[in-house]
Amino acid sequence: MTTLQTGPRPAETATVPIGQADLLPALLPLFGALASWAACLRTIDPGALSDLGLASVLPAAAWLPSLLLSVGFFFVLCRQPGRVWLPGLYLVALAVVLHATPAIDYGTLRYPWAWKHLGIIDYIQRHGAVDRATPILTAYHNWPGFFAAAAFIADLAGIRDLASPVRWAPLVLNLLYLAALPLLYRAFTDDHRTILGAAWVFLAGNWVGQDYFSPQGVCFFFYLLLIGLCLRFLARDPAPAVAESGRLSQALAALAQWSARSLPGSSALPSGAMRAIVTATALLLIVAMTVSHQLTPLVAISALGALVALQIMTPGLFLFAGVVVAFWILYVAAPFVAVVLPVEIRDIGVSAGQLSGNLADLAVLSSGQVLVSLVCRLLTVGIALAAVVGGLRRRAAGYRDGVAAALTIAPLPLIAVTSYGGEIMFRVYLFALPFLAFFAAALVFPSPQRGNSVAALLAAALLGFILAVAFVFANNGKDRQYAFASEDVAAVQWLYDNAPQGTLIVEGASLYPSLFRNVEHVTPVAIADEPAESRAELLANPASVLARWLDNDDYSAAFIILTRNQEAYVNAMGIMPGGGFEKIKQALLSSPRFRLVHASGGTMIFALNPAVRGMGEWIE
Amino acid sequence: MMARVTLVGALTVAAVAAVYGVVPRPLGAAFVLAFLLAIPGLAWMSWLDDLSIAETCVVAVGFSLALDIVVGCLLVFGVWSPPVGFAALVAATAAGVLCTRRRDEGG
Repeated sequence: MTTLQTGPRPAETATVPIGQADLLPALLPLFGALASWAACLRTIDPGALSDLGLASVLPAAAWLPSLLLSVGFFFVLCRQPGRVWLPGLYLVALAVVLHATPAIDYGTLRYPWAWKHLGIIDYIQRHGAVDRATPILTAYHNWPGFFAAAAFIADLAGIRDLASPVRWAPLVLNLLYLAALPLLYRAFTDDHRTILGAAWVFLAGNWVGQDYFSPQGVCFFFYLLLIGLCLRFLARDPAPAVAESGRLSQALAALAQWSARSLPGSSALPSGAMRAIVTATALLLIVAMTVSHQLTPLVAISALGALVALQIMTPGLFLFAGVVVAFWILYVAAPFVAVVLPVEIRDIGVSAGQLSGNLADLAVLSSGQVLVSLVCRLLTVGIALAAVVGGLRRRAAGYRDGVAAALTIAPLPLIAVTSYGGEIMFRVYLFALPFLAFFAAALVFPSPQRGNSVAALLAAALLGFILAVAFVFANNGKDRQYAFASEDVAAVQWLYDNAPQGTLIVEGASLYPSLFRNVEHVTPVAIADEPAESRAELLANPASVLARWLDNDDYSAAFIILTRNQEAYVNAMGIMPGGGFEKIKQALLSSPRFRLVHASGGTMIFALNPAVRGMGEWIE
Repeated sequence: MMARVTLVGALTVAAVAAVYGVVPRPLGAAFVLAFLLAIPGLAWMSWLDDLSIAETCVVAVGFSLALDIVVGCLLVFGVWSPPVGFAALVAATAAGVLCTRRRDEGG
């Protein structure tokens, strides 16, 4: 097996025999955490969510599980090294506490985008094809791998309603990440405290919310596996610097030797067949990423390129990934790329200059969202700073973690070559997080000889608890917008049941469970996404303007849908200041031109009063 | 080795039976999901002797999911047939078991 570890090796602590009598105290915090978590679940009322998200409805006792898990985890990590599975149990419990709570308490699929993903799966199941030139959700039709696989699996398993089971996707995906991370970290160190400590930092630091039922959620798992397999099984010795000709080659070889000094002599797998199957798995992962998501394969290319530059790998996989991605972008996704590529080329480098400008403007946010936004930023910057200091401590302990450092910065080119705006910063953070977490864990455990004191244990437990608390604010801080009550979901299902082909749906904002069925039958128009002048005109005279929008012969039917999640979003983001959303709602309720055709929970659905349809402009 | 082959074989047979309606739901759905999400990868993964059980399982899940995506994505090229895709996965699983058995028997 290959390991890129340099510097001192850990002591052989894994073989220390542990008596059964020690097991109960080691498990007590775990049982206590799970029992208190289960007790708290029943007291949470998602209907009372404020702008602070899930944290606003959690009782004080709900923070106890995170505290117990953190104390118990770092205790068994440092004091019971003979049982590596024990801290593993704590990590699984942390994932359950962080990710099963919303799934259980909300009872419906979180995130509006997840519902749109169901719509693409529904389309594939009904048509057995994708429409790469469709104007709605075009990118999904051009990168359909994830959706096709989900449709394929749902068809074979006979699952008709995917919305219910896939609400567990964040928990399942984080458990998969958790299982894949040691594969990666064992290439950097043998110290299980650093490996498992990094896994804790990753779980609590993964707040960006890409781990839901989505192509990027699954592709991130593929990315971790790909890099793990490359480092563990496909790495090779760096070539001696003197053997290279040319200054660039010599510099790269010298860099490779510096970054991975003391690399074990041979990284070749014991048999050619094993190398073949590992390589085939890597190729399969690259293809699966390429057909499912735009961004992840680009990061994979960058990371593989870094490994090639450091002479950790031969360029085969890097070249293969480049060719496959180029083929998909330029041939299969050509209808989409033809429209988007000119914009992307125009915006190359622009994103880098707009990063701060695209972050949430704290001046217009509600007070709760200001706090959530600050926690997100503090959590991100805190982990990055901990990683820097942890890296320096490893360096001082004699380690050269050049490969991990290179993989940390590998996603950075995305900032320049995509037009995601401020959003890209969080994607870059996500791809850097596994390696940031490794260095951050080294803040406490820089080497096998350090980090065993009681003070270090207490500091680690405190930091672990703070991270877990911050996660709840950061990851669940927008749940008032992203979590849907079952009555609201039922209202939207009524709308889609009654929307014939060619229906116009005017929505307050796109943040509600929409486009999950018959996606090609409807044309959605979100008021929140309209240009500022258009919104101002609408807010000045809502009933008149909306009547004009709906009285359109191009559509066979037209509805307006206003939901509490939309209202929470536009109010929290300052999109319609001065109670604009409420003003629209009241105007529609009081206007004779509109009928309230369905209301359930916090959702209202309006249609034009047929008695006045086609009568032209009204005089107020 | 035998435990892995037995598990792979049993779940493959159970999944085939479930797809053709022999096993009632929800048990049938569980068999099909277990097969699609792990078994093709598990059939091939005995090659990787250096991996722990947890690592073997996670690589097997990644391999199987990636294979599901590649098979499903053939719809882009006009091929969409869940039964045919399922048959392809069963064939890939059988090939994995046969290859790993031959290698293990050959020492």
